[in-house]
Amino acid sequence: MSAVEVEHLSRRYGELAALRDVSFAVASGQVVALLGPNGAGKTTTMEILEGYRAPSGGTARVLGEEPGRAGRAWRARIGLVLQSTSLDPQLTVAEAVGLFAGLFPRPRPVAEVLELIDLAGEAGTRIGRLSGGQQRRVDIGLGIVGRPQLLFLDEPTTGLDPAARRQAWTTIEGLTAAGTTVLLTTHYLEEAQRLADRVLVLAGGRLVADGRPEELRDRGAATVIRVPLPPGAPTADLPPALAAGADPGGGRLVVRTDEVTAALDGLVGWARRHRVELAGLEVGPPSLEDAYLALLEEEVPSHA
Amino acid sequence: MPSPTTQLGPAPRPDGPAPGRSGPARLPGPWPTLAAQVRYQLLLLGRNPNALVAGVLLPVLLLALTATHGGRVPVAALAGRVVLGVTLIAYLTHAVGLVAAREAGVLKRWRATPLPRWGYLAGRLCATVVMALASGAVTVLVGVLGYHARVGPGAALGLLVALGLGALAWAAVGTVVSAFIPSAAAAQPLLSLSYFPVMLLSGVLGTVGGVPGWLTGLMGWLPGRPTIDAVTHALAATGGVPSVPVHDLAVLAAWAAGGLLAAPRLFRWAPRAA
Repeated sequence: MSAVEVEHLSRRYGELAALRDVSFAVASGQVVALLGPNGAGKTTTMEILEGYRAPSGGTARVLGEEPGRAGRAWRARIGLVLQSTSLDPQLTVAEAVGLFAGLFPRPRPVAEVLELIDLAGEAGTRIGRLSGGQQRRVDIGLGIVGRPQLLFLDEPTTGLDPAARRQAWTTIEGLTAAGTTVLLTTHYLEEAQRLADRVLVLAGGRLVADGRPEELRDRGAATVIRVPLPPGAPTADLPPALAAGADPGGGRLVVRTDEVTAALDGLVGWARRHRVELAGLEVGPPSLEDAYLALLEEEVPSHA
Repeated sequence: MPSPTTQLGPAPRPDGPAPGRSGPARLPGPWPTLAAQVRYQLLLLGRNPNALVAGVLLPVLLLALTATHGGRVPVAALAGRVVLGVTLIAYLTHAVGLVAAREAGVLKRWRATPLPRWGYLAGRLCATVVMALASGAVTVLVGVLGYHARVGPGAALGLLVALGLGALAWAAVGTVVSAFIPSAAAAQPLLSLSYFPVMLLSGVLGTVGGVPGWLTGLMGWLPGRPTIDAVTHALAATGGVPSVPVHDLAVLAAWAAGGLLAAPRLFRWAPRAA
């Protein structure tokens, strides 16, 4: 049975079409990442599925119910982490988790949640005194305290340092291993690659890709050549096939090509002529990020 | 430095399977839900310095200023200070807090939980009334013990009714008004603009001269003057029977009922831009 079923979903804000004819389903136990640039419709999709917004057209069913009309029992089966932190700064961490635990029929014990979010040592600290990353972990704790069947995570690790992000990933992986369905939005492709069984890409309110991370990666099948550029490198003299990939401001050259030998030949010739050392040169398959960016350039030319 | 932690939810329950996987599981009933919400909101109010300043420090300071002649405070002045503290908590602190919680996304987060819609508002209103009553009790005690205000032993019940109904009326109106305030930054000035003129014209700090008759009449129908009158009468009661004018209580009850009916319909759980 599908945990989420979306058919021909659309949503307008006045003249702006935030979502256009979006259809997808999420099977129970699946972890699905919703990707897309800012304004692509990710949060609108999440908010319709969470019951905050009504669609302008189409249907959305979550755990068998229409989110906007679903009742308390339905809300006890979902968990969510909103895009922005939404906590009372005056409460301690343990008070906030305990308060939310009291809303659900079979909550996780508070101590277990504090361990999962790695804040057991801060149980008695007021939330307002925590760092931004720690507050985000409290948000995640409140999202999981009710043992949700379906967890919505809207950019859950934004603002976390790399170590805290990995900790959050481990927590989420623990939940998904236990069968929790997860729908998450993220701007971190590494996060999608690590957590998601499946990736949906929204661009301009339309669903432009739907598949496993490796399938999406294979769509941008061209080999990627990457090399850091030293300051002042004469990029204007690069062969035409390479020039478009130069980013002198960012200090790097990234070229996607099916003609690897010719591209490398041109690059090495240019480097020899201008005595540029190609230290850090990488040639390899596209990453999920490469494929994602290529997809966006294809679908939303202005994004490039 | 860790803060003392209060158990806000019910006692921890034994582990169980995820909801929906072993048949229907029961949600907490209305009374435990309301009790937890009231405890939660009382904790927030207790940790809010504005509530302490508005509800206790300011009325007591004004009592001290009033009592310069012979160290005694007349009952009418005590009633004004009591009502000031109670209504500052019930209206300003309550409504500013609601707008701030809405802007911070706290209300939006609550709306997605199994908490019934009425649960949050009822918890917040109950806690506000309790805190307002506590503020009133402290001011009366300071007035009686520190400034020899002549308050009869029959005052307690009448005071409880007058202050309870007054606090509920102001809190209900504050909940409705909060729906029209666009941002947390605008909350304090807009709420102050709607509060202080009414309270000053109603005589919370003493009778104001030169007020047109129609305006004085109007004040009798807004919640300020009836709260002050009801509390003045309650404080002055000397017998065992509370003596609070029915007209004042009826006006306060009407504002409370109107506010409570309108609040759930007008209440906004998310900032306007969200």
